[in-house]
Amino acid sequence: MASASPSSFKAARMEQFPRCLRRTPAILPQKLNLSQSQSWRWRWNSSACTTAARSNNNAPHPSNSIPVPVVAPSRSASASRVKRHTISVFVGDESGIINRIAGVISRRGYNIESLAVGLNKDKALFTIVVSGTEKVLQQVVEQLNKLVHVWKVEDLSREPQVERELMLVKLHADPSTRAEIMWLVDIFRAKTVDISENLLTIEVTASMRHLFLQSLLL
Amino acid sequence: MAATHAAAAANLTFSFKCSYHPSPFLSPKPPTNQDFPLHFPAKSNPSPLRIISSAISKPQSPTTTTSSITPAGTHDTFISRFAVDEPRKGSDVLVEALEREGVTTVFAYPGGASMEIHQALTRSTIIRNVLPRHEQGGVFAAEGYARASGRPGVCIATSGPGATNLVSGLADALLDSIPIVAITGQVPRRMIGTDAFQETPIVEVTRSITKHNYLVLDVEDIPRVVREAFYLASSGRPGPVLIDIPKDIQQQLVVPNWNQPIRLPGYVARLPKLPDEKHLEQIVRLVSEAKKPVLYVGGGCLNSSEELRRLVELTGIPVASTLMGLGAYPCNDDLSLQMLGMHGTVYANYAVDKCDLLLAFGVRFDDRVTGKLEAFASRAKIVHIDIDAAEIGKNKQPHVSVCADMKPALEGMNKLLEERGNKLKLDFSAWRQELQEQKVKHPLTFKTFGDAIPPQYAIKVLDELTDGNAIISTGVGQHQMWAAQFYKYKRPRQWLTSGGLGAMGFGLPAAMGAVVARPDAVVVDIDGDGSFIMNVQELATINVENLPVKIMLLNNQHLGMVVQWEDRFYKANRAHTYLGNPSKESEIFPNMLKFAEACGIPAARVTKKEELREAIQKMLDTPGPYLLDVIVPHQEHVLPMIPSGGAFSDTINEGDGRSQF
Repeated sequence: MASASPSSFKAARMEQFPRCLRRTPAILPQKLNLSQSQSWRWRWNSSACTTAARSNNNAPHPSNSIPVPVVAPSRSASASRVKRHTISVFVGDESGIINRIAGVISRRGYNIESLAVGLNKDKALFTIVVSGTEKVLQQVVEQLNKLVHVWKVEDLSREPQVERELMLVKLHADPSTRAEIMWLVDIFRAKTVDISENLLTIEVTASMRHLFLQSLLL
Repeated sequence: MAATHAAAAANLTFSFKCSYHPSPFLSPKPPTNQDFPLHFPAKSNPSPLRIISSAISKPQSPTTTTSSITPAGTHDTFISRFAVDEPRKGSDVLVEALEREGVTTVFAYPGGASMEIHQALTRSTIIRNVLPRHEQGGVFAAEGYARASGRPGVCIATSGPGATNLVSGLADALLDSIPIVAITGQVPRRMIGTDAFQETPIVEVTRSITKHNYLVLDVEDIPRVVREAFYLASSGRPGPVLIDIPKDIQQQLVVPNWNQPIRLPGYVARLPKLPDEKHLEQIVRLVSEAKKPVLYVGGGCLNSSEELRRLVELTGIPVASTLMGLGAYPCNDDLSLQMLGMHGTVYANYAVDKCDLLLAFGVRFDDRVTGKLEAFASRAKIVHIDIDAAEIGKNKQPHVSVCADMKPALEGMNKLLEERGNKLKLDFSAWRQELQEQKVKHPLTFKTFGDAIPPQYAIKVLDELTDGNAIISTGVGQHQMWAAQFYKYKRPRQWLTSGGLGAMGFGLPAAMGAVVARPDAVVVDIDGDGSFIMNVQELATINVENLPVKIMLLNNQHLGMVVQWEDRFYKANRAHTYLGNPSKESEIFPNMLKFAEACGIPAARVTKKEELREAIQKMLDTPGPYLLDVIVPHQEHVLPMIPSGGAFSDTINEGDGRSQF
């Protein structure tokens, strides 16, 4: 809903696990968040800033250990809050690599929310969404780094991102309802990609929370 | 040809040179095949039983032991049995690849899918096979070999059940970071996935219990895969690597290309670099500011025992060791607090509890050491140096951390301390005095009842008679804890035990592997009756291969450690922990001496305390393998004990099975 107020976007974003995501028949969610996330971070300033500050103050990253002021590490509330993190893993291809990566994460008891793989001739890029606290994410990144064929692991949730979700909806649409459906499709700037006698296939691309359409259609 | 090291470096697709930053305080070393060569005691390779036809391979062995794990030298000067373009079977290529890595002994048990490899081994003049009687014995023996020598141990098994019998050993090697290369046969490629005879997807099964594993699908890959496997097993944080080779590839004829570079760019780039001097300076500064520092050392320090000793000499900081780190600092020294943790000494746990600076070197803050994490070293600043970045901050968040190999880190710190020692004026004598009082107040003790042999006393006598120089391997349980407490280890790689996994049946096969690795050392397996009988079949091996393993069996007819927990926490309710014969409780069952007799090994039993010393001396004096069955009471408890999840204040230091709880 392009005309929806910004506050409803924020409200949707503030939900940790929006319901629309669970019902999404998305095929390969490509998550790239727009600058909305930056403004979101400013609104949530206190907790976000504490998180950033804390991660600089501690010495969790030994490979680039900045000499650390010797202070006992404090766990702020944000550090133990469960968040969704997006990790990108770049690997050299090998048979069974998907299994390996999924195995590393689940062996430690962490949950993969979604996994997307892009394959090149002999390299692959995984985009994994894991939910957990900062500490969990740190462990996941370190364990993935231990895998032999992994070239690089990055935590994308810290960067400004553009995130999109693609939804393909197949609807039962006989001639009587078709017109209404196509009017709705127009409003949401979705596209009709296929029509048959009583089936209609619609494609919607939007940033994640923009999926009121589905609830309306169903 | 160019210098062997340079040639080896050029072989790698990603040059090491850009990732190697020679620090100003270390004399630059030529880049080797890996950044961090393992150093081991200067014991020579065991001479193989077969006559070595090529004189080249002998002098290569010392190179292997002192400089790098994958000896670049062997690759260039190796003389092959085959002509350069003579096609040979994949199994011959595999065996030659092992020879090129400097392997002289394997622990292989044949089967349908690995027969070709065994046939090829008979054609090898360099590699000797020690035939275990169970694949688990083979993989534990490979572990004992690796733990005692520092070189990767090699074991070979067939497909299906043979491969699955390796699982315990691989899990143990992963948890304790031991370099092992396990090779398994597999059904032919066209039959993979069809539930063929003796087929198991061992790569899938062992994915999470190995550092890395390979399924070879092309015979041309064998030289590269073997090279990569050895490199992975021994570099960075060591671990087990499994290579699965289908039978048709073993039989396929090929002309191998020995010059294939290894393809591990990401891994090599992520190997820890040399520690930054700034961080080491910070650590030295913390040491100078501390009043009560403690060194908490573990398995990561086993290769840097000299540097650790020098550090303690320069600073005077007392040393508490984990189970895996015993021997890194000599246990009979004044500054050694011996073991800490659940069954560690009271003074070691006291020191860690009261310290204000905890130097955690080569440890992973395991739950057996820390107990309740919040209460562990709660007053201290924590400095954590480890080669594995994932361990840092995993359990306990350190204040200063360095991800590096211990050897260069300790060398750097020693250099800094030598430069500034006079200015720093480190004096921890008050702290050491405090700990000395604790040592006097709460020493490790045991009680004697009549003429029954206290198991702790048996180990003490063994310590005296071997002068603390024997290699000790153990099973798991009470005898393991007593062997850790009462035997004073002076050097690293003397103490072989299953720490992280706690696999019973580890003792005897590991002792076998240790004898193969260090034939001139006295090797004693301190075992319990439960653990011994799990791999008793290896008695046959030690007789036939003439491996002089001395087995001191602390026989209490029970599963001791579980009995202890039953006594303390379950009101002495015996739940399947009696290992004797319930209908004839006064007899020793099973009669272990008969097992030894069946395998042609001399054996004796001792029940009285007065006869013990003589019996142990006889065991040590008799050449060849020997079994000594020491009957001990089952009411003994391992003390002190901190129950799991407990803090130092929960230490239990009294009582045994004779009292009520």
